[in-house]
Amino acid sequence: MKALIHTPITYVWLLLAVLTGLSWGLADGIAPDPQAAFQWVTVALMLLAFFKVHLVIMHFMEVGTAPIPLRAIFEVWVVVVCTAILLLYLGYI
Amino acid sequence: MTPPADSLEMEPERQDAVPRVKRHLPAEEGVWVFILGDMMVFSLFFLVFMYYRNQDIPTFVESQATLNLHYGALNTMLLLTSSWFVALALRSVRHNWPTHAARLIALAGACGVGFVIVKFVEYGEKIRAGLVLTTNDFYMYYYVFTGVHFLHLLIGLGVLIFLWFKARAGAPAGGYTQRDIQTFEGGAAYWHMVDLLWIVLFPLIYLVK
Repeated sequence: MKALIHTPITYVWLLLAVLTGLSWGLADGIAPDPQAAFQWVTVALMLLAFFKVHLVIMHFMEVGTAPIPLRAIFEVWVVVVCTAILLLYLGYI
Repeated sequence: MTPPADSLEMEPERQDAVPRVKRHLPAEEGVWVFILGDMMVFSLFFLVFMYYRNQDIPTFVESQATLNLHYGALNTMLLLTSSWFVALALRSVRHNWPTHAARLIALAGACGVGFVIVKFVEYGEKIRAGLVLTTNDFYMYYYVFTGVHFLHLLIGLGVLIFLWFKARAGAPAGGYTQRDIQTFEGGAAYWHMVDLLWIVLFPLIYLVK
């Protein structure tokens, strides 16, 4: 079992858990005072979320070592969807 | 027992060339078509939510304040951990360790059931407070989008049960075939997709201020 857990996948999971904890704390912190730089905290939370999505796609779904066209489609999806959400949120669209 | 090698293998192209990553398509092509199709539908959900939020920001902000972000964050942790178990289960299958694979799939399923319980508690609280699908636009999107995701999760639990039975049956004599491994890879990829869609839905619905 020990040999099974000693893999980069475990470190990716740890990183994802730490990032989730960070988002959790950040979001909880701004809840009582939505006036305090809330807009940039929201942008940071969305960027963190899409970075986590990137990690899941590349390492858990193993798209990082899949053929280039599949990897490219996923990478484009992450960038386009994240950008579109942020542009809508910031009022540019 | 020797530690398993990682799936990322290095393949030297020529003796003097820099070794390059050996690329491998996990699961069958159809699984990826389905996953990408589903992700396209959910990306439309995300954009529709943001578009209608912009039409009535006060209602969305006010309604969002009634959500308990701890439920959403706890569910994110549960799905991330279940994804990790599934990734380790796939690693076990590739090394012909069906007993480990079955245990890990069961742990992943337990995390999935945890998500279901949290969601039931959350929906129950909202419904008892009179906050339902027809309350306003925010709640309509909240119930529809998290509900569609919930349906995906229930299908994912069915997939995990199927994979658990397959792992429990043990590896065939001579080890798992490429086709067997592809079946596990397909189920794992679907479960990871359920995870990643929640990773976006959670901040979008619960956290965007």
